[in-house]
Amino acid sequence: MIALFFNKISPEGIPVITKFRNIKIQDTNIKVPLFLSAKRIHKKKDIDIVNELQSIKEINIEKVQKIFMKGNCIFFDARSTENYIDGHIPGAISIPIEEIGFDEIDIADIDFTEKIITYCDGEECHLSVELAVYLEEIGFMNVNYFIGGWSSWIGNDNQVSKGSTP
Amino acid sequence: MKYNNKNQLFMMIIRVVLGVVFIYASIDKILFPARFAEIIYHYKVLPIEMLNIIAILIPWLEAGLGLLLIFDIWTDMASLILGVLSFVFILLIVSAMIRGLNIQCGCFSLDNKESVVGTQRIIEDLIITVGCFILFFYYSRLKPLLT
Repeated sequence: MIALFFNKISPEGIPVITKFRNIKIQDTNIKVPLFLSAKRIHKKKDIDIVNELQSIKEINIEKVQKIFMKGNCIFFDARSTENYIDGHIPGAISIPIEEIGFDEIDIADIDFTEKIITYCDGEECHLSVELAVYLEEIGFMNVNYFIGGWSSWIGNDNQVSKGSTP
Repeated sequence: MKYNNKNQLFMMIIRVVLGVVFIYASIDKILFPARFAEIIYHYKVLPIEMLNIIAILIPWLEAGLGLLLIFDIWTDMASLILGVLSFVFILLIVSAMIRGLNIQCGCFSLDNKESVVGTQRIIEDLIITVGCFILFFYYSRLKPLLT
């Protein structure tokens, strides 16, 4: 009772039942939880952004290659830091969401209107989708996840950067 | 077994230390439940709908039982529950390691500098679990659970 009461009055309180979004990846539905506390939503805008989510888009390797060539997008790598250092899409920003909390993601400099593409290991990996959902929750308006991810990128002989910097 | 002052002093130290550890471990989680829910999610063992309620209740349970340990109230019951909780946590860490998950532990603080799941976390939790069960066996002999 104390726990529930404190959660109710706390500015960092969360819904008792976890809110989530159903995202269809190819033929499979996956549930992606929404972790924003009331305060964090409120801080961003004076409305409940969770109810205003647009549908995030799934894009494949062909489309990603075209967008990469144009250079009008920002890639977010949701894999571990170790994997990122071993190799990543040139220019991609590392956001290892299993290692850091959403609160610690430092993307304050990026405009909400930028085209964002998230990726992780491949089709079996859902980190890119989780990150995409989070980014859309906090207000990014053009969020896409790269379905084939890293395995698809290197499988098509694309450029690769190594090290801890984009 | 004869309970002498030396034993009682030793048990008191374990009680207070573990009590403080559990209260310390609960503070961040109580203050930032969304962050704790996120960490639980990455273990990928609970249904998504339950993540928040578990993230809300577990830290308060830790804190409450930690207080009971410090003030020596229902110590047998408190130490048993905390011992079982800690043991379950060890199993979760081991299962995450086996599955190759490189996730935050969520053991003591929610700071991202805290190390991810690994052997060191297991050893820490093992020490806490053993401490809890030592308390349980000692205090349940003095005050059996069902009396």
